[in-house]
Amino acid sequence: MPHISPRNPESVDWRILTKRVYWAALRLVGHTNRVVDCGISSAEDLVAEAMTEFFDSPNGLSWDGTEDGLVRLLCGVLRNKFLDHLRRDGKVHPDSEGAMAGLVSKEAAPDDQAACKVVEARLIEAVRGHPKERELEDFIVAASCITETGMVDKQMADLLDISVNEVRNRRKMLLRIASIQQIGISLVGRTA
Amino acid sequence: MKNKSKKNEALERQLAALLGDPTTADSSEVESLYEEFGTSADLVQMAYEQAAQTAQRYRLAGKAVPPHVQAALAQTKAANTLEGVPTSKLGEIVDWALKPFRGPTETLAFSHHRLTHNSEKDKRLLKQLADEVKENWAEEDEVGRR
Repeated sequence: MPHISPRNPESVDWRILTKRVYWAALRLVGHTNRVVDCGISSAEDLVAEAMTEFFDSPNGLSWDGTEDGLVRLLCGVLRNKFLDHLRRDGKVHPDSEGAMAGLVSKEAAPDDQAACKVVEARLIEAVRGHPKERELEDFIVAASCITETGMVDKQMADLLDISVNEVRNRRKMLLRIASIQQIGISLVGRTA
Repeated sequence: MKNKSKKNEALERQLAALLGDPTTADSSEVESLYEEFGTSADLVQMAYEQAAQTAQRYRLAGKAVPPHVQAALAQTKAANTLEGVPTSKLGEIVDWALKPFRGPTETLAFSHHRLTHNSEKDKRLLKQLADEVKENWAEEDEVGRR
C-alpha cells in the first residue's frame, strides 16, 4: 500500500468531511439562518471560505494527506475566518483577551477555568425558561466536570447517568438555543 | 505555544461536550446533526467547483495542478454510476432508501411508511401503485431489450 503523504493523499470521504466542517461552522455561527459580520457570512459561507483558502494554497496549507488531518486543518482555518469576521464586525478587538476569543483562538487564551465558568454561566442563562431547563442545566454543568479529552459522549453519559443517545439529544437541544457567537458576542461585547 | 494550547484544554473539552466535536465524532452523529441543522446547499459539489476553478487557474498559467487540488477534484466529481462504489456506500444508499420518511408528505408512496393501520382502501391503493411501478419497469426492460 502506498505511503500517505501530501503528494499522495489518502482517499477522503468528502460527503462526511464537508458535513463535519459545516458542523464546526454551525458551532460558531449558529443555525443556517444566522449570520456574522453585518449579515454577510453564514455557516455555509465560512465553509466555502475555508475550502477556498485550502485549495488556493500551493501546498494545501501543509496538509499531511490524511482525512483526519484535513478535517482538523479546515476547522482551524474556519475558526480563524470566523474571528476575522467578528473583528470586522467590531465585536472583538484584534488584541482582545476576552473569554470568547480564547474559545475560538488559541493565541488569546484567558485563564482556562475562568473562561469555562463564564461559558457555563452564560449557557445556564440562555436555557432559562426552556421546557427542559433542568436537564439542560445538568448537561451544561456536567460538561465542566469531564476530565479526559477522548470519548466525551461516554463521559457525559456516565456523569449524567443517561444514554449516549440522550447526550446527543440534549446537545441538539442546546445547539438549537445557543452557538459560540451568541455567547461570545454578549461576553466579549461587555467584558473586553 | 504548547503551554498556551494546554491552557485551553479544559475549555476545549467543555466545548466538545456541549456542542460536540466535529473532528472526532462518529459519522452517525455527523449525519444525524446534519439532518437537523444542515444546509440545502450541496457542499461536496461546492468543493468540486472550487477545486475545478483553482485547477483551471493553474492550467491557464501553464503550471501543474497541486496534488491536493487534483485529489479533491477526482474525489468530489459527481458519480453517475454505481460501478466501483464501495460496499459501505452501497449500504448507506440502501439504508437511506429504507428509512421512513418523516417530513410532510403529499404522495402516497411516502405516506405509507407512516401508516399505523392499513385500511382496505389503503391496501387497494398501495397494490395499484405497486402494479403501476412494475408495469413501468416491465416497459423499460422491453425498451432496453430492443
